[in-house]
Amino acid sequence: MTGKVEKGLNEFEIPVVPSSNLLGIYMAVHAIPDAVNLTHVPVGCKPKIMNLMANHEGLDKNFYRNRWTNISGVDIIRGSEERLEHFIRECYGRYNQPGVMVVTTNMVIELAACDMNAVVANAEKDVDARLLHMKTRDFDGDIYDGYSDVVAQLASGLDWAEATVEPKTVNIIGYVYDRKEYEHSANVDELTRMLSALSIDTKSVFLSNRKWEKLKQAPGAAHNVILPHMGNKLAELEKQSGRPTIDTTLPLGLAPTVRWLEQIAEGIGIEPEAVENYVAAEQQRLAPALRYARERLHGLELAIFSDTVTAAHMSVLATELGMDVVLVGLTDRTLGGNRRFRSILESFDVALRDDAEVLENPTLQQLARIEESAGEVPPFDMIIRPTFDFFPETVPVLEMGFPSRFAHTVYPLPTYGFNGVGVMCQRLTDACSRPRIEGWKRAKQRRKRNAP
Amino acid sequence: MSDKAAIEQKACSLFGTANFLSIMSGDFYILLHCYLDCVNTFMYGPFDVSRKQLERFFYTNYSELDIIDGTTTERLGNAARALGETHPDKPIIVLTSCAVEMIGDDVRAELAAAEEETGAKFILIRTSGLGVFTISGILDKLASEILELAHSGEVKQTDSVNLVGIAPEPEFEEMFNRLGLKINTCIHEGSALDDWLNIPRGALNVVFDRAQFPSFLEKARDDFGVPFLEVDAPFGVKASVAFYRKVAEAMKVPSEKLVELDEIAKPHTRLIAKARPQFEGLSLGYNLCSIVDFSMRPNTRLGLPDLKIFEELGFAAEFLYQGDKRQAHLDRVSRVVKEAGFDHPVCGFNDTFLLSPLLKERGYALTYCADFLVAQARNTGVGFLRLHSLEPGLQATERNIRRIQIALDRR
Repeated sequence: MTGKVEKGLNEFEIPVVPSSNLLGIYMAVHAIPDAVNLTHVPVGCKPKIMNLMANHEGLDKNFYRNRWTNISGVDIIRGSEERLEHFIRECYGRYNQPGVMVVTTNMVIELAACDMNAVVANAEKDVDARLLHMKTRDFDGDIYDGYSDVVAQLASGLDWAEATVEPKTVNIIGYVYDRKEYEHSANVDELTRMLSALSIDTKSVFLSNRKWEKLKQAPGAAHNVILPHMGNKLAELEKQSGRPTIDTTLPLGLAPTVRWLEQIAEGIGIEPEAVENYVAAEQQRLAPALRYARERLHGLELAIFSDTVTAAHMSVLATELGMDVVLVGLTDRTLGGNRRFRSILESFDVALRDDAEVLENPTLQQLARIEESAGEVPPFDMIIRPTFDFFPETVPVLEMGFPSRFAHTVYPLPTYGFNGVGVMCQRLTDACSRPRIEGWKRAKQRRKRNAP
Repeated sequence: MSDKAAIEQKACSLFGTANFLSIMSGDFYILLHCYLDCVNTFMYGPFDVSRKQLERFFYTNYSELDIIDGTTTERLGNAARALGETHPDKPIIVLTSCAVEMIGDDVRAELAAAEEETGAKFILIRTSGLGVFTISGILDKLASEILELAHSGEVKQTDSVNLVGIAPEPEFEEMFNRLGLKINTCIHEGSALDDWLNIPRGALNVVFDRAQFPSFLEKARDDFGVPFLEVDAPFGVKASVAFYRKVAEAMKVPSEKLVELDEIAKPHTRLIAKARPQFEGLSLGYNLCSIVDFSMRPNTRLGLPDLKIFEELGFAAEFLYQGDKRQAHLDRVSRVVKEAGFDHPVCGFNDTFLLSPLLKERGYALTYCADFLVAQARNTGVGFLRLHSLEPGLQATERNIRRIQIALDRR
């Protein structure tokens, strides 16, 4: 499906989804209303990230909590530590004592050996906020890496020892809240709704557009639920916090949602029957939606472009709805790639067809080759992808993930949990246009028949 | 640094150049000598670009180890050769980035070697975010480098002009035809490479801000024999008539044709006269320097030409400058706008969220502001009109008046 590879040139091709550690840090700050981001970078780094963020964010385009020092080559030569230190103090005053201040830089400054640690340590004396120094790994990081770095630093730096722990309470850590739109608030509400049905109270969700004061209540919880986008960033949290950690799957899809609840219930010590009863009731509620979606979607061939974790769980959901996932593009660089993707599928007893293809970090040129080799008839019937053209005008699209420039959720529509399954049934059936797809299917069959 | 450069928006020249190239259609390739994070500069950036346009981009993707080991140049060589061998007959524009500029990669020598081996034509534009680059400076550098690709032996069309810095409007073509002139090419941010390469065929470059393209204009004149004429951009009736007249005179159009021009302008002048009483004396906050915009129009005399439309309608304007608001700097802004022919007071605000209280305090009837500032104007009682939403030319007069009326009605 990928077409020919131009020898020697493919290693210089451009990834289809831009990704960087610094961008992930910006996203994390955007998800904390009283956080301020101070970036020690030259003139270009901030606007280019702001451009990406502003295109992805549809509802809250107030990015004025992102500041940058705007340093030049001359500043680097002369030393820029003093400038940064002054900047941290000034921003602390100007932003009316923010809850969290994140100080970061880019690779050039890291290489120029600006002593960021010393600067942050000095400034810390005058700043009564959670002050984080995030090291940037522009070369090998990505959005999820930068985002989870901030989450990990915030969570592990809490005062876990002093808090009074309430039983049957959890924190959910590692939710990727990449924009302030209703899909995310709806997801957070859905997760807490499902937990409360099992009499579990959610103390904090890292991150969820909640202020630092709210996030700081996390030590009151008895358990920490870690979502898979965190990777192994919180491997030490159990030891640091003295709270049991529950590593979970992503509650996207029917089976993953059930497993998510089972994992948490088991971790907390809730009777399995309670989960079974709740799940049975929810499945019964969803049965008409699932039946309808399966009738409409059964046998359709789907392409998914997303991060490894989301793509795997989305593939499970698609399979549950009777679709065939034939092409997957894993757009991250740090979440485990094809191996982890396959292992997540295996854990749900889902296997892709033999001719299905999984691309790690696909490039723009790779997509062009697929289009070229496919000719007029697309090799799949539908695609879930972020903002980029791929068989434009010919394949029904569900725009999801980062960046989504054109699809914005202005009403609470979760993708996670049981309600998420219902919403996805709706969105997928809405997106597919059966008559058009039937036309392509016939064209595809004709092509197969006429093949030599 | 000149006053104008001091107040202009600055940008990373890689960011600006890559964005500009991303929307320039044409049969050429772009190689970025940068690492992954800089690739974010042009993807899903300020311009809505199709994937087909982006496919022409490649990058060297050097690593931290390449910098430490001194192998970034080697990596550039590999990428340049691979691209040159695959597309030997297409121009390849190479852009550099902060890190390789800082460590002093000998990019030119490496590209010369690759050029010799592959036969491909490489054009190097040194870019980075570490210097102080105005957007005009970035565009000028790119424009003059692109001119390298043009052929000097092109046959000149003596009755045709190049419009540099403005998007084509049907009216321009119609009016120039009436004057016996043709438009050879229109250069703006959406122009294709071929439009740029057509420059030598024009008899005159008509430019709205010579300071926007100094090197480009000089090169076009000296290497391709295309002189330039600076005119006011055609915003408002008076400026539009002056624009056509000045070009016609420079192209030695017979004077009887110019009489016709006055006749064409009359109904539009009457529209202005009729509308003026309802706008006379209304206060206007005219936004300057809030947005890093790589389009040519906002960078033509700091985006001031649109103000002619408001002046013609009798608005009392005040500039809303976003940036350093210390008095010495605001004095600089005043000097620059005066030099550009606009003698209005200047107000400063640095943070975006400070615009809202400023609008309330000043109590304008209308503000002509960058679109991202729309939220700041809400609940202030000030009408909001998106910056550069007004159109050039005579035929736009009625539409422009209507837009202003609607914005005022929505207060």
